[in-house]
Amino acid sequence: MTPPATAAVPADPLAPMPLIAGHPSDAQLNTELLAPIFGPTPQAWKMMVGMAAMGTGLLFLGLTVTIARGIGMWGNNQPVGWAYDIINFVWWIGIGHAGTLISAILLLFQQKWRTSINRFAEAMTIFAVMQAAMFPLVHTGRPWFAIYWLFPYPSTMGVWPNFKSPLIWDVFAVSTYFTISLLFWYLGLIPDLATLRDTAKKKSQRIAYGIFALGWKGSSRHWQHYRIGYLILAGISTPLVLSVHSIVSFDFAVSLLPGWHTTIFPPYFVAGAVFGGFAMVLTLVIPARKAFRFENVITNRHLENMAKVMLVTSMIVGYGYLMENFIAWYCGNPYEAYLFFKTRPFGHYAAIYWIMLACNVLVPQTFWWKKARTNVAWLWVASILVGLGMWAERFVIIVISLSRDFLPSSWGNYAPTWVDWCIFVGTLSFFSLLFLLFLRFVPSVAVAEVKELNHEMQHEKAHAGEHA
Amino acid sequence: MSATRVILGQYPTVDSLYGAARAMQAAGHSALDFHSPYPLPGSDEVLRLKRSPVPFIAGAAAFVGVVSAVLMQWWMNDIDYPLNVANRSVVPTPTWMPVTFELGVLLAGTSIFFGLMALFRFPKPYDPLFEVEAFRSATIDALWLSVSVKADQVPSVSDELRKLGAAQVELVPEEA
Amino acid sequence: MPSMKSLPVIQDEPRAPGHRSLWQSVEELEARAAVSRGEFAAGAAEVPPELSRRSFMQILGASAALGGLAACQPPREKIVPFVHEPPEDRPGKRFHYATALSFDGYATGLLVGAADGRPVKVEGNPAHPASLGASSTWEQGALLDLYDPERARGIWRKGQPLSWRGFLAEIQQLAKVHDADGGARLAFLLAPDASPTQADLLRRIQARFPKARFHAWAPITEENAAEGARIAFGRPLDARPSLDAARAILSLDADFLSGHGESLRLTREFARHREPGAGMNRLYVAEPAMSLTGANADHRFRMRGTEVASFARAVAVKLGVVPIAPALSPELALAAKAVAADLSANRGRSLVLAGARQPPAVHALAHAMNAALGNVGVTVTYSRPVLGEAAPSAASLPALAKEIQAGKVDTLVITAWNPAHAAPAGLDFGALLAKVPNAVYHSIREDETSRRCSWRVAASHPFESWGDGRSRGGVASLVQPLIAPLYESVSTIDLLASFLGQGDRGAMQHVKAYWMARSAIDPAFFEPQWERWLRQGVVPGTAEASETALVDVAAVASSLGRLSLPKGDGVELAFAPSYGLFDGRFGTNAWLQELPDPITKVSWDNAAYLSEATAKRLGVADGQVATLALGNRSVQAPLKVMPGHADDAVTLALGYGRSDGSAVSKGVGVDAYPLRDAGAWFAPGLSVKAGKGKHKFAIAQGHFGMEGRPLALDFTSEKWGHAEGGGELEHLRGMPATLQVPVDYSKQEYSWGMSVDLSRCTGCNGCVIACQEENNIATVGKEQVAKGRIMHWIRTDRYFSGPAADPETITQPVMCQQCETAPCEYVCPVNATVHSEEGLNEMVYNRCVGTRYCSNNCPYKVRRFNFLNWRPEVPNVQTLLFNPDVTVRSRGVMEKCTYCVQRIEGARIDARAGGKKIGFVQTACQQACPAEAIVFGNLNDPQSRVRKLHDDARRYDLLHELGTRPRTAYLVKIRNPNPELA
Repeated sequence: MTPPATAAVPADPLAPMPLIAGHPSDAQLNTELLAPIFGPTPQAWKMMVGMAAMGTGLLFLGLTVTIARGIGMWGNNQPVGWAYDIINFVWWIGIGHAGTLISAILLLFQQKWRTSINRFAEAMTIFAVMQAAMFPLVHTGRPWFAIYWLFPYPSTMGVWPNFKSPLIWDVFAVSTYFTISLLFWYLGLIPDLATLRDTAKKKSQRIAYGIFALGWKGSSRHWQHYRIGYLILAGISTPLVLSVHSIVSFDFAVSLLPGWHTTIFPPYFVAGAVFGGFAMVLTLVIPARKAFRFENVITNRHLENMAKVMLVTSMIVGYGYLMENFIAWYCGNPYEAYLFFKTRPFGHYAAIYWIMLACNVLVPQTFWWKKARTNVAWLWVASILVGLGMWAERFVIIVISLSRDFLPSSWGNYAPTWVDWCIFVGTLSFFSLLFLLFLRFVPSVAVAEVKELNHEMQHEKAHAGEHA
Repeated sequence: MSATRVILGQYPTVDSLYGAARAMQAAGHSALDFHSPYPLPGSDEVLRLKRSPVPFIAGAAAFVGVVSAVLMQWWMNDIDYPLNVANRSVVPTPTWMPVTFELGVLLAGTSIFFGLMALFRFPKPYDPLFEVEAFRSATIDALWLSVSVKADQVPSVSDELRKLGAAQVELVPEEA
Repeated sequence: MPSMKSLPVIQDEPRAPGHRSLWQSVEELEARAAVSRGEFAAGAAEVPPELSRRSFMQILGASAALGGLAACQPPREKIVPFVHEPPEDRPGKRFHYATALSFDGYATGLLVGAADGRPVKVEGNPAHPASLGASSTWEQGALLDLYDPERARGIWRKGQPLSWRGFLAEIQQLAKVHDADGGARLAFLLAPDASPTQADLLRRIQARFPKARFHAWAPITEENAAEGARIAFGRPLDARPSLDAARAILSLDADFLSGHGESLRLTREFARHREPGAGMNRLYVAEPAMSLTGANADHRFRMRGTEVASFARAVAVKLGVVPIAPALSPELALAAKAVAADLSANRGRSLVLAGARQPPAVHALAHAMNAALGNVGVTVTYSRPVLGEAAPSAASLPALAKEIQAGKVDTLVITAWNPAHAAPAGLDFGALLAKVPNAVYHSIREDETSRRCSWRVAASHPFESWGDGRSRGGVASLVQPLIAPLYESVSTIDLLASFLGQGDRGAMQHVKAYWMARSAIDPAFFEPQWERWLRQGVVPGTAEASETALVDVAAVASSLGRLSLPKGDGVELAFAPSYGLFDGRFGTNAWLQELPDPITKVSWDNAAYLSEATAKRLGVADGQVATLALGNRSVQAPLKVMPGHADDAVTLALGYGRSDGSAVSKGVGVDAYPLRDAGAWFAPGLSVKAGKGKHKFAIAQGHFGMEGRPLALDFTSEKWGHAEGGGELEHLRGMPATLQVPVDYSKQEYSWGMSVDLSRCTGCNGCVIACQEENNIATVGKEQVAKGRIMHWIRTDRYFSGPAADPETITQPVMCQQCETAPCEYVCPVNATVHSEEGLNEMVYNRCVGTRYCSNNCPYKVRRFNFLNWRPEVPNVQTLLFNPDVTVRSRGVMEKCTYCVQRIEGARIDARAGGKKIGFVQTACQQACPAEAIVFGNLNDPQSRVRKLHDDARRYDLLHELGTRPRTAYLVKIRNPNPELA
């Protein structure tokens, strides 16, 4: 949503490449954007859902084995106490952030182009955070206790959680983040659910969507509160998203391990999160808009803007890498120096380090050229590479740092087991499954907002003279 | 006494909608509302709505969240069950910041959502308005004006709305 | 029966033996055991009413394990359960009983702690000269053997079970048959044992069967030493080194800091003189593979095993003991010169030691050098051999084999350990055993040999049986049982006695009768003596007197002449006892299997060690599986490059590659015996061919270098002077700058701390097993060790510095440092690890959810996580092993060293009961440490040793710059190199 139109909207400097192609009427937009829901089920969709469901099966297999036998089924060891579990956690949380950023921060900055992708982004956030939230729980040795001992409840032992521990901060941050994202998303959905209710022909659909629409009737008396509420929610989501990944980075920054104990982590993690998140949005949006013919509302201009954001964040992340290495050299701490100048570039996991640099620093450099930014195929490949790179970054930070700490006597390497892989593939599949269901049953583009945007633009055109 | 009924009029443009609304207010009908697929610029002024209480609700909730977070951490770790954890001091510490902030946000956010639900009297999946088939367009592409009047005024107001340029006028059935 | 009135017993304080007589101890134990035996179910009613639920469950578990085993046992002393529980006894209370454990014939005195009638902890007996309160990995490990569920049980003849009485009857029959021909067809293959009672029984057996043959045999013998003495002195004598006065020590391949029956005493004497100052000793070691002793040398000269003789000779020439200098490499010649100079500079305060692997001539030469240096009587004394007849000889097995082949043996009684497995190459002793009509094998475990013998007699564990033994030097100890036999089994004495028709008399009667006769005390007054001996664990006046012995230099020289010098090139194979399993007898002991080798840190394996240069020359690589061939014999062994190994030599440890024994021992490592001739230690002409396949070692410490980090610090003695003056350690100790207001512990009554002296630590790993035993630490198996999940709470880090070919070594025990600002604590989300007001970093197992964050944030990486349930199902009998004072952790929980908090609390309880302050508390690692390197105590007591050591000039904190403020202080290692060789 945008603030009341009384706040003057600057004329779009990029008119030749519009945010909404053509001059569709509300009715056209309506049918077009809701087509995926009322249209017939595509075969491709069925197949993908099937595959994703099978992959999800792997996830539950992996988790069952883990809970039945213990963390020992993973490759984790002394000294590498955390590995795929926490890598996946940080990676997913990071991806989630782009969603909030697009829908909240861009809203505050009145970036109109967000309108047609924010629903994707928010859905992605929620599903990603669901994946992420799973890991802190199952990575514990005794999840059946962790699930409630981590919360401040009056236990019979009389003891409370330790609020000095970053893991407790995580518990509060992640649960808050999930709740707020969900509410934000659902609030945004309500008008569209009402639209669905009223567009639907089948009674069953009318009832189903009617229930979720909660009785929305587009009343201006409601719109008044709704707009402000939505705006404030966006307002608090913005510091929230920054805080959440800062807190996740505290898990490492607060420790004293070389490679973890780094003050630059919070901003650098947030940038990395946005970076990886935008990559994921592209990875998802590009095929989706093709499949559902959303090219009119998700235009190349959207893709290009996201490419630009990725270029910027990639450079922030690159700066982070640079600073880490500079400080490692500047502080003259032998443990730091060994990690950054021996272990990472030339050590046992050097390949992963170089993959990280290539994917996160080199690949986005191509976005200096408009050709690359507008080449959809390359955008898609690049976005996947960046996703990989960000995963590698978390591997470098977590596993490599742990494998070479202070006492050489306790150094040791980590190797994933089949259970690690099951859970990794499984969580990707579970995410895809949720997202596919979302595409089919929920308006994946914010219909009401697009209509509003459509009107504003036509209004501007009509009254161009008056504004000048 | 006579029951009030709701009359709906659909208007082609925002201007004609606002025109009709102003005329109705002039005629002494204050129980007006618009129904549109997206928020209408300026509707607040036309309907003479009061400032929304939502910001206040959010602010109050955030304050409660922050205070309770500080009290909780202080009481739990320093009063009820103090422990020497790594020699870290037990006076208010920076380590409280994250939880304090998150709790503030959590309460603010949830209060906004449920505050809105309260203001809207939601959930209310059924509304007599929905009996009017044509009214479905209100969430799709049409602009509707709703006026609630005394039962005996229904015919006159309906004519009035048509005069004011309504494409169609509907009478909302009484609540069963 | 003496009255049951209760008297004080030896309690948690080993240094203060009480006055309780053994009888009651034993009966009380037997009583508990009896209750645990189905046979005495009626007696269960007499279990003291205040018996706690826990100990009741233990007894229940025991009964399950032991049900129905009471059927047939040698008769035991009358068992009388308590009618009235003595007031000082309470469930879970620890009693210590003095006993002894014989290893390769020589006894080491122990104090075994028993709780609820089951031995749960082994400690050294401070009153015993071979222990001095310390204990080694092997004594500690004995406890696990006791509760091994795979122990042999019962008496079997050709697969048929025999009752004890049935067995005695059978033996009577046999004996009668053998009486006919004076035992001409009767032979004994005995394990070396200095037990006087046993020797007495054997004498009597010999009297009954004059023609019977007695062979003492063991895979590892010290014949060379005996022979060397015979050459030098014309008669066999035991040489007894004493390091207290020694300032310059030359070890000729003598690994006297481990394995050697007196290594505990020698380690203590050695370590006591490793502190900087005038009294500091200097150790030279000449050896092929890096041994524990070599790792502690100030100068280590690596050379092939057969070259040691030449080196020794070169030194001797410089000392003017023998003429003709041998050919030596220039640097070794230089070394020999310097060593000789140092030795003679310390006339009367030096010592030359020859290793068991060296030929007699070298031993003789060592005697000659000591004599020439005037060391005799000061740093070395000579006495009559303690083992005497019982001294094992490698040749005895082939001799016996001949007799068997000639069909001259109808009955063969074997108490020696596993001859079928450890027999010399080419001698298929197992097959021969099948030829013997009555081969009676007495062993604690079914193994390669028992499968081949027609009779199998399960042996009782030393902690289950009566007996006696003698230490090196002859001091006798009585062996008393801690618990009734867990399985139907027979002690050696009972077995031997059965050949005298006295099998049903009971071992205790034999032992007691022998000592009564020997002590020549009026029986009326014998009892108190006997009880005192049992309580103290030593029999006074039994030490061998030292004898004056003159060296026949001519004989020494001629024996040297006869010594065949190694051919120039070609690779030489050296055999060595393994640090974990010795000759293989500990192969079934999971603790010792998992214990990493002190030098290479390889666990659950042995390997063919060789130097990097040799590996290059042979074109083989570390980890490759190679074929080691001597002539037509060969084994497949994985190769491991060992820093400091001599070139052109390969070392293969004995004791691995068992085909039998138990699930623990089967198929672990490589069996070296198929390559070994009788008693051989070095074999020339080894061919090494790299095969295909890489071997996956389970190595507990993969990285050997310190990467220039200030972790395990050492100084040379002269550099130390400047370092101390220059305050080089100042930045490594004391309170680092911090924003926090430090908690003030000085007001506390107790503030626990520890100090570890790197100068004293030899890296023997005794502390590791002691900790494992005390704290119920699980073993995880090779696969998990390889994954990096070994559970040891204390580990001995070992770092090499200098050239890889010939490095300097330093060992550093690392356990939880109990940091005052512990990095593990503030990251734990559930407050499962917090600080006690006495400064302990406490671990709350039942609160832990297992995030492993604490371990990640621990810079010392001393925390251990239960990644899986390491004890899926514990055999009932093994539950008896658990220390009742320590939680047994299950999976998903983090665990770590707690400074033995259970011992602190135990001491606190006793102190409160006595209304006094906690006096003297020892951690398990400290108590076991023969070098006294680990000291624990109250830092707030200005008189405490630990306080003084914390204020020592050599004190520094590990990773001090992190500001963790550890409670464990380290004292830098001081090396004492010879300036001439620097």
